[in-house]
Amino acid sequence: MVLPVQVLGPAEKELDGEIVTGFNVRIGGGLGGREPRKARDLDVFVTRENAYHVIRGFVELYHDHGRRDNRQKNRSRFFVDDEGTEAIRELLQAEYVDVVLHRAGRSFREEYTYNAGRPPEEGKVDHVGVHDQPDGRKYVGLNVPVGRMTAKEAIALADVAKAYGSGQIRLTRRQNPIIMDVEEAALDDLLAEPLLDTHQPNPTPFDRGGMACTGTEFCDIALTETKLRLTRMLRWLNTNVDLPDDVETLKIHYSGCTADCGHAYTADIGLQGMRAQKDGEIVEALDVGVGGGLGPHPEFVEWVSQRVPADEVPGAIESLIGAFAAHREAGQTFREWVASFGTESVVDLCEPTETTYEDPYMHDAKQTWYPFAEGESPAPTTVDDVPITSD
Amino acid sequence: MPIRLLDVTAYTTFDFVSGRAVGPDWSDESAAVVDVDRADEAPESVRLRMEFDGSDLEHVAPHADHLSLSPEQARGLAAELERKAASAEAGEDVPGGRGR
Repeated sequence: MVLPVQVLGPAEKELDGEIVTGFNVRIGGGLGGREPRKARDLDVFVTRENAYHVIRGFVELYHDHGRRDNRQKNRSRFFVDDEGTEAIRELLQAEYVDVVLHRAGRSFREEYTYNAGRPPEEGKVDHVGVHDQPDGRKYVGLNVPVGRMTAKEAIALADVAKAYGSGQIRLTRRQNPIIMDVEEAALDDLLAEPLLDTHQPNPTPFDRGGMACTGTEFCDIALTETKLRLTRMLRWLNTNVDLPDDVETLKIHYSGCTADCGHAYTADIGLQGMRAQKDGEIVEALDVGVGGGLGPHPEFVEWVSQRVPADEVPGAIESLIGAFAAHREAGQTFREWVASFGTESVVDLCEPTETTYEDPYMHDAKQTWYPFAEGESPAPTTVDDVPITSD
Repeated sequence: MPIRLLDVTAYTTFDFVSGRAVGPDWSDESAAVVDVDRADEAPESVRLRMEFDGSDLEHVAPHADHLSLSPEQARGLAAELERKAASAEAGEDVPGGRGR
């Protein structure tokens, strides 16, 4: 389940005189189809043991009562719009679960840190980097640029985890791997591993915040190339654009179409694939939005520029970051700045323009490749699994 | 800037068409999305939808237009488009007057 749709939020509740940890249940969130919704509170607390039964009950309830006959309405978010959480709760209890549904417990939402748009001094917001475990050992979170790791790198990751830690690897909610149980004495050797040159524990703020859906390369509903383009954009931003020193991450999320699998809606700067006309030709383009994020109070981006030709997007981002740096109050994060500065003012300061960034995918439009087709594969590796550089 | 109302994916009929929204004494040039599909709630008809980009509109509120065409109307429209497309490609003169 995508993040603002979060089904289970950590919570605690007193049951039979005892404080029990578990989850509050929220339903009916989603980002796609230009109709985003935040998940709504079902006013139900579940223990870890009961969570499965309650979610299963809701899925069965939706199966019976949701608009499964109507493809455009067949989303739980529209079902919740129509029915309301109270009626769903009653039906769930009456017909779909055997356990007693407790009212919501004390939520920990205010303590959510991931993508909450808070400044670094308020604590870590992800698990990338070297961090302490409660048992005195370390864990090391690696940033996978634009979410792509080759098979050989994945094997190397397993080897490294075994050589320097317990062999256990966990994944963050951003699908970044965490190498667990590293003794302090082994840390320097681990950090010197070649794998960590690519999948870094200490990425740039742009690399750390970059995320993209699969895009036209492997998805038949996407409108634009995404991962390779974002890789190039992040490189350009790393080299050419300075963030204020106290900004450790800037989330740039890129989806190839309005389905928003890349979570553009919940980014500092959200990008969605479109098409535009430039110099008399149809080119790949992006809608640009700002000010989204998660945390205790999720917000969706507001759109500030439409159909920006892809080669002008880094220039647009540069102008947004320049405006942020110039107009922010001390310590404000990008999301905080957008909220206080106002989106309409940001619209005026977003200036798409060509820069030294070059985009080789401007006319890539739907180069969908069938695996059994004759001719060359557009996949970004050679047959020997050697990544083809995006340069 | 308003949210787009139409979903835009590779299955959308046209993700970019040039156009104008026109009023009695104004005109907004805009890019548009045009989509042909069938609505679940009216499966016996063909739906033609169009939306100008909100950022291009000054004189009219952002919106999408939905036309519900019977299969016969849809075929009629397709035939008319084919006919005009052929004469545009052939470079034929644009006929004057109303009786065209």
